[in-house]
Amino acid sequence: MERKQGISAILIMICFIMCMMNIFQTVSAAETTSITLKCYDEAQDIILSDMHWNLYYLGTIEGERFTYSREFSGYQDTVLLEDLTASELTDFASTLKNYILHDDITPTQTGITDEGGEITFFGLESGMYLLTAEKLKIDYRSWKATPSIITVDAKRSDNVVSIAKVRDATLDENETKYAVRKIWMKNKEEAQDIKQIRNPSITVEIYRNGELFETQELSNANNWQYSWIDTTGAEWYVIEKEIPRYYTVSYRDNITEYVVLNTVQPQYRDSSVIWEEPEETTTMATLPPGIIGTETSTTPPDNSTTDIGTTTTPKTGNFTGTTTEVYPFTNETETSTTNETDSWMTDINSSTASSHDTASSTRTTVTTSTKTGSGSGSSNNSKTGTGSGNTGNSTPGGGGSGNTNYSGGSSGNTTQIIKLPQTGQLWYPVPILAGGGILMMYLGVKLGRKED
Amino acid sequence: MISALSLCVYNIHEDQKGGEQAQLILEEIKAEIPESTETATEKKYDLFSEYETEPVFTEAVIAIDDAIYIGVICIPDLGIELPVMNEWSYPNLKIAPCRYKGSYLDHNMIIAAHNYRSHFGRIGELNSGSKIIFTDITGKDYIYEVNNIENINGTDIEAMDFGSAESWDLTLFTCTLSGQSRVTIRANQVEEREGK
Repeated sequence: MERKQGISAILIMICFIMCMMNIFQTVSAAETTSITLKCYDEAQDIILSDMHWNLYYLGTIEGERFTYSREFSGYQDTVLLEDLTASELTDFASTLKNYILHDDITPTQTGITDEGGEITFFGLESGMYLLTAEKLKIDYRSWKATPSIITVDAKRSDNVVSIAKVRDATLDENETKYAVRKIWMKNKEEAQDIKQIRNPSITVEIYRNGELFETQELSNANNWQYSWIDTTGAEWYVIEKEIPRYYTVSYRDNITEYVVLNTVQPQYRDSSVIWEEPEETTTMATLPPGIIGTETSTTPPDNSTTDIGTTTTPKTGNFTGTTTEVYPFTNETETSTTNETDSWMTDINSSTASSHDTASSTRTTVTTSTKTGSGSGSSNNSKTGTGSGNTGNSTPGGGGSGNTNYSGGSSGNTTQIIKLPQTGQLWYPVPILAGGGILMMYLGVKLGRKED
Repeated sequence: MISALSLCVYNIHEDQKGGEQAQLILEEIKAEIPESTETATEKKYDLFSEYETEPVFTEAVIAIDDAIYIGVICIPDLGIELPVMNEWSYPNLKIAPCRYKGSYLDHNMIIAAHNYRSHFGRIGELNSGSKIIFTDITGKDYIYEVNNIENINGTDIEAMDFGSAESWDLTLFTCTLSGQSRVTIRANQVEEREGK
């Protein structure tokens, strides 16, 4: 009896151990997943085998929060991932690819596609991955794959299948023209892309087959664009040497055209505003943030019904409000703050002046009113990582003097053409001449007969 | 009589010469107009065009024998295909139709030509709905349909310009036999297409 109980206990123990082992194995299997990539040129019905792919682990995703991995942490301030559309996600991938090449980041895994044009990467943790491929050359043809971002969750799926986006990259056998262009962008929150804070020029490094080919300055002088010619069909990418302050960078290309996008990043600061009653009534099309006003429509002097402009009169009297400034500023020194504010005000002034040009029928003079802004403590600078608040000394919309006069239409200068071009051959004299000739012949014959 | 006869011979000779010269120029232009190099897979996308805040469209031109040409005009119903010169002048009009005013890019181009049978002499035979195809130097086709045919007095410049961009996109004109008026064809653009 005791023997039977002992055997039963041992069997139960073995079963328990096996169950525990099974559970651990199950947990271990759920912690990794795989990505299968399929590569083919759908339009030409060509399977792309022997295409070399690199896989990079970018970071973790928890809910909506993305955190760069250690290898890519250096790009967190300049290559942002937030609420990106599908095409913006592609740009994000292309941008990181450029940095991978430039900074020689080691891939997490590499491999080549098999005869069926497929490649699988195994043993992947949950997170976000970047996949890039080297250009595939077969005879005189070549294909290039767009870098792609794939997010995997090992708990939900043990394999993710993705179709690689490939394009025919076969170039003209003659020389090919390449070009790089710099674009300044304002961001989605419509923060002003203030021209005054743009660098007067930027420098791009052009890489050919991984080696620095050329360094080129882009500025207004060359329309922020540079072109070059190459006959070798090499692989190119560009890197902006120093990303301008207050901007992030994104790279796009279509094999021969390269775009460097700098998008301004809004910087937020809450500050209190005290608006002192101005000496004269002011009107402006755009009020400084936090200033309350009443809108007035203006109509042209000819009393047409079309509302051609709206101006806003700031509320007079002293009041205190809170404004969230949504434009780049600096926290460094009071002097530089003033300069930043001045440049902001210049922008407001210019926009005010331009909007007045077409609108008002009355002569308006905007005077600079005194305004004291006091910064209250903290600034919301999560995007840039700088912390302290600052005193905001700013002068309000002393928007430039508005000499605005309604003018109804413009008279153009036209070249005086007296007559339309004569585009006819001289056919009309023919019947006249022929008729005259016949008449003269008839008269001649008749006169001759008379004499006879 | 002899004068009348001489004038006839001269006009016929000029007509033929104008036609031959235009055809020679046409062959040269057609040789220069590129064929589409797009592969069957994917048209090469113009990345920069996305960032043109104010799209800059410029006409492509080609120089042949010290003259500038902007494209080729084809009127299938009349069986004519002729080069179009960039600027009009009386010497230019003897060679080929000339742009009198406007641009195909702005939908207000006016083309003038002599009333040679080999040039615009028969445009009065066109009907509403007749097709006119203008091909620019890049090979892009602008296809128009005739919507109005009128005679405009030779001194009425305003009437020739009238209605541009609203009523018509292309105008062709030439002299009537009397030389006093202009046979004027108005057409609307119905299609644009890339080169063959």
